Amino acid sequence: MRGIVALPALIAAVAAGALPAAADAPRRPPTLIRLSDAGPAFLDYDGTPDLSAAGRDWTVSMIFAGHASIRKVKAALRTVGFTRPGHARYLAYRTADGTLRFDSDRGLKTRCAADGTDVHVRLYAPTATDRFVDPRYGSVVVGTTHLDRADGCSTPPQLFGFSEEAERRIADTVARRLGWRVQRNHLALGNREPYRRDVTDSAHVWWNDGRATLVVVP
Amino acid sequence: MRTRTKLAGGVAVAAVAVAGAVAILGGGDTVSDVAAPLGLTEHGPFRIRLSGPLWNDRTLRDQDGSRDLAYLTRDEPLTIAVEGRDGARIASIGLRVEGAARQVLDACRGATCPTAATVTAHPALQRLGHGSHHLTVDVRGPQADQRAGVRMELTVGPRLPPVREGDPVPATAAPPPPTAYSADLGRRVRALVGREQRVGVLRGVLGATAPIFVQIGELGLGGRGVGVTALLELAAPRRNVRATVPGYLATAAGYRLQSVSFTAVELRDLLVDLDLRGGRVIAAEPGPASQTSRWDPDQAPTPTGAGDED
Repeated sequence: MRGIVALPALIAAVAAGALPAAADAPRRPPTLIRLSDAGPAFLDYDGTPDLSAAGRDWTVSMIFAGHASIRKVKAALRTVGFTRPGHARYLAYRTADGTLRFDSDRGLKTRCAADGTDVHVRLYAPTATDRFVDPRYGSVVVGTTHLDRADGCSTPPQLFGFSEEAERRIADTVARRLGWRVQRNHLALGNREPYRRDVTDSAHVWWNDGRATLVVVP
Repeated sequence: MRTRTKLAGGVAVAAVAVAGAVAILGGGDTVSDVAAPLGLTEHGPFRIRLSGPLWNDRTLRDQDGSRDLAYLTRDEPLTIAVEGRDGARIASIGLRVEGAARQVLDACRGATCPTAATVTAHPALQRLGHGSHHLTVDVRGPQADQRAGVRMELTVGPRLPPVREGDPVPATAAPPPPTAYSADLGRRVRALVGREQRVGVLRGVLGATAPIFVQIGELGLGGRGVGVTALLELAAPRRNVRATVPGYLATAAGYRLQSVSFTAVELRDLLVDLDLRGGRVIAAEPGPASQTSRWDPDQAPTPTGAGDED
């Protein structure tokens, strides 16, 4: 699991002289963001259940608003091909009393296409309420998106990331097949990750324009 | 009506013993995991309501079993309110932390036990160390079959560092900012790829037509920029491409080159890494839109870090 290095793996990596993957970190420190002044705060990246830069996995790049809940969005996505679970990651958020909590989700993935690539979206909101409540955007669920290539199917090379492309594909599917209103790249979350990768962790390909797609759930 | 008359024992319990192991309520008893926001359970003869900071900071599980957790960085109070249903009376309220003996928080020693009681406990969870722990509240009546319990999951963890807080994010109709690389860099990368396509390591991969440069970005080496990584799209997909291309292994000193032989049933896109210090291609990999049937690095798996991702 990215960011959590098991001891045997760490020993093996050191013995092999490999550099740690911690260098493959976000461009700026992870930040708690809000959609509106009185709205709930959540981190702009998912990852390990901490706040370290090295543990960040993918950028928040989709916001489901209106009448969204985890249950509702997942049920709808399952009907359009997002039927497989992935590996769990966490997203930090702040509760009304100021406590920082971490919600985890395995997300939903499409089946592997002929090219060996699937689309993976993880959805986060407080488990207690199944949604964030924002005075401006209503019931909100936040999502991270990425592509997985050769993740349990197909022939390598294994590649992960391309969040911008995953966001585009999900937005297309939601708009065309669910008929939900989609405003692409509508929210400037500030988590821009120019296309890049690092030699030490080259399977992890960053790419996000920092603008989340807003989906209005009826 | 609260008819609490006399439940002896401390109202506040400072610590829960952790020595000894007692099985959680025996057969036939009711223990429920509570995830409901209200902290209210109604099982058997008692209605149990939990509240307070410890309750608020409990670990929750969603339908998939995924956790929603807060780290307990100090011992916190838990308030337990019990009401007997259908006139059931309360003989004792107990608490058990995994592997420990039941700690009696309050017990009835009078002739008539109450039908309602409230106690506050301070379970000593910090001493258990970081990780997930379970705590059970159980209530017993005067009769042996009058028992009910509630179990919570809690996560003891580290104190978190301060986190940066941003301003509310603006909605915008403006297009996203363009990719941040200079025109000079773009020209240089196109020239290098073009050379490798004509006479170098990409000759058997890209064919004769110039590819589309979808993205050009930084190639880091332990966080330090050493070159460029480019996402190329072929002008037209190529079928049954068999080629040998460079790849690399990360090492303490940087990286070590290797060769990778591959077959692409259909090649639509290619990731190309260039080390600008030496002006050479150090890796080429079919991208997420390409279909491969063979991928054989001659030394070790590549790309790096592939085993710990999803």
